[in-house]
Amino acid sequence: MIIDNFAQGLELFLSWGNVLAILIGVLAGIVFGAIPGLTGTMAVALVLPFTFSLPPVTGILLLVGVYKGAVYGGSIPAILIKTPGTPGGACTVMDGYPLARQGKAGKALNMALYSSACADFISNLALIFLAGFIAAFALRFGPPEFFALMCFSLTIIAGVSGSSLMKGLASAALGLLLASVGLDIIFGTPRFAFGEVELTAGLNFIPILIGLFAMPEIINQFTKRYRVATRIAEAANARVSWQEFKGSLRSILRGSVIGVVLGAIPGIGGAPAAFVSYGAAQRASKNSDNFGKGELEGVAASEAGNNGVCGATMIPLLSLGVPGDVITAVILGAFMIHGLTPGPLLFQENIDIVYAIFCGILLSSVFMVMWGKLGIRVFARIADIPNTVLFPAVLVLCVFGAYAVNSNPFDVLVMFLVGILGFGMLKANIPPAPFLIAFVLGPMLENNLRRALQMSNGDYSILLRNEITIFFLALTALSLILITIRNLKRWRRRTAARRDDASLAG
Amino acid sequence: MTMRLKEVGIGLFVLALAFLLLIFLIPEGIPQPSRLREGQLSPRFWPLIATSILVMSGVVLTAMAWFEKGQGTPTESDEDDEPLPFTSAIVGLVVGFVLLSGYYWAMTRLGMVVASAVGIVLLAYAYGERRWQVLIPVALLLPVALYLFFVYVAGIPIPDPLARTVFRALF
Repeated sequence: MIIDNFAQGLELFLSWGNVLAILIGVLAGIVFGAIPGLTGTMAVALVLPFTFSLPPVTGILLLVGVYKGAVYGGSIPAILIKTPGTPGGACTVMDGYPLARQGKAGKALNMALYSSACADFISNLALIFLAGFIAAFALRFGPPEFFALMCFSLTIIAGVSGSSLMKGLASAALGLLLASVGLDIIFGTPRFAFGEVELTAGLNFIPILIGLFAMPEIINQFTKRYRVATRIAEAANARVSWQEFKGSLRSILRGSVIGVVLGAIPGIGGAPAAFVSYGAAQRASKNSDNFGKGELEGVAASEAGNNGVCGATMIPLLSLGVPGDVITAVILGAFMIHGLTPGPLLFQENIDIVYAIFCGILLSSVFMVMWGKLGIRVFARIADIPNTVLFPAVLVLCVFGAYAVNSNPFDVLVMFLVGILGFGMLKANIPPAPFLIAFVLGPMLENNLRRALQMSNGDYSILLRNEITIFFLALTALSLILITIRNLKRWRRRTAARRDDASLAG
Repeated sequence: MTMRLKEVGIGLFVLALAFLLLIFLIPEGIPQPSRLREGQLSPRFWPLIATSILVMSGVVLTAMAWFEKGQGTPTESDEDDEPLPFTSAIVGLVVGFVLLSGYYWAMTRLGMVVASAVGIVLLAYAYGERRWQVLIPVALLLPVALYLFFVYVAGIPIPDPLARTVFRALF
């Protein structure tokens, strides 16, 4: 049955126009994703009008190509200039940028590419073979299940807090507070707006992201004297060896599965998937202490989680007609413009179109590797540009990117102010990653908790209403216990070491 | 300043921020709807939880820094560039803040392309870059390339009266 469907789809797919559409789409997506501030949503929305005159399969493949390219493209500036191009790329900064600083930008970019392509391919296979099963699971997610999942996701804060859990918690609390600026979701009353219209709309993710990661480096450069970099020759460090890839393979596969499951749940997106995948990889890795300092497996895990979402967001779209995020909502629009209605009927009436799209989606992973390999040779050279020229150029890029989000200079101001906050955090050794995680996940956690409590008239037992919530809350509790034990052990080790030092000195 | 004092200062700063939130920012910045009954549905509920986390971490950070001898988070540095002496670093920061404020001011009044071109030159000069043959082309080409990409490819209007006039005449 499935082979017949594939044969029909392949027949419809095999044309130069379709191959070209996916080829151009992936390239355009990578370019857009690599520019901070230009999101995948923007890229897909911009390309949408070009698809009106194209055949349905060609048009939709062009959009899917742009989407997938943009998700991968976000990792490039994250690694090279500490400025994630997309929200999902934010997690890649944590290990990608330290690797670039060590002269291993090419290696980090290659690992990001391979893990992205692998996860994307696995996600595509899940879309083709498991769509029905995963869609049924995803539909069981209501506010209590989302809340439980977000609780578990937030436990990663402990993993990215570095040597001080308390500083990580303070950073996360700041992220939660900044995320609550805007209108209250239930009452519609302003929070921390103080009469400013722009604050009433809330703070956008992109200026915060750029301000938190790129701006502190730019400000910090004013406190240093430039000297010629003594980085290791890039060419020798550009390739990812089979051993290195094999070492990260488990994290890639795990991240892909996490991406698939979270991507299929409408409304989650790539950023949480990347953080959950990163946290899981850190917990399981032998090199967990090296995470955040330039661990190749960290790059692999975050990119696998981020890209594992791509195919999976199409699952609720194609099987149920429910868009998983804003990008798939635009793609849903493209289906409708071409007279197609995603959902069970699409599989009955236009099975050839569905499978032609599947063929193109599978090919997109191949084109991603092709364009990525070509691009890395050029991109990796950016890491060799001296900071005295690179940082002013990055600042201009950041200003244009932050402005482009809403065409509003207020976002540039937010970026500068968060940059000053980030610089203070850098000097105080307060890690920025917990801030970012809390800023992304905080609103989801709050909204779903309050919605769940609204559903139950304030009865907390709704948070234990089925096996999904119990499973995630139990995992959260287990993680918290393990974090406490690990921190106690670390504290005892540190105290013992100090006591030994003191007795030696005495 | 010793590492211990610095860490105590960080803890106290976190605590001060938490109290500022509790005393002023939350009561003044988040109006409470009068019809509200359940506390957890209040718009203040979540900011109060975040503030509680700040209070807890502030207390623990201060206590750990105060009572543990030699306590402190080691600075992890992988920097290529040499840090300036304290006074020079402060001067550098002041120059940096003036330049960034000036950039924002110029951007909103003169336009993004002109402000960015001047900004690149001044920032790079402040960083110590003196190779004008590299600086000038970067300062001219990058803002123009970004303007053309954003306006003509991405369809995002970029405010710059001069660039708009020039490129409208050209295209």
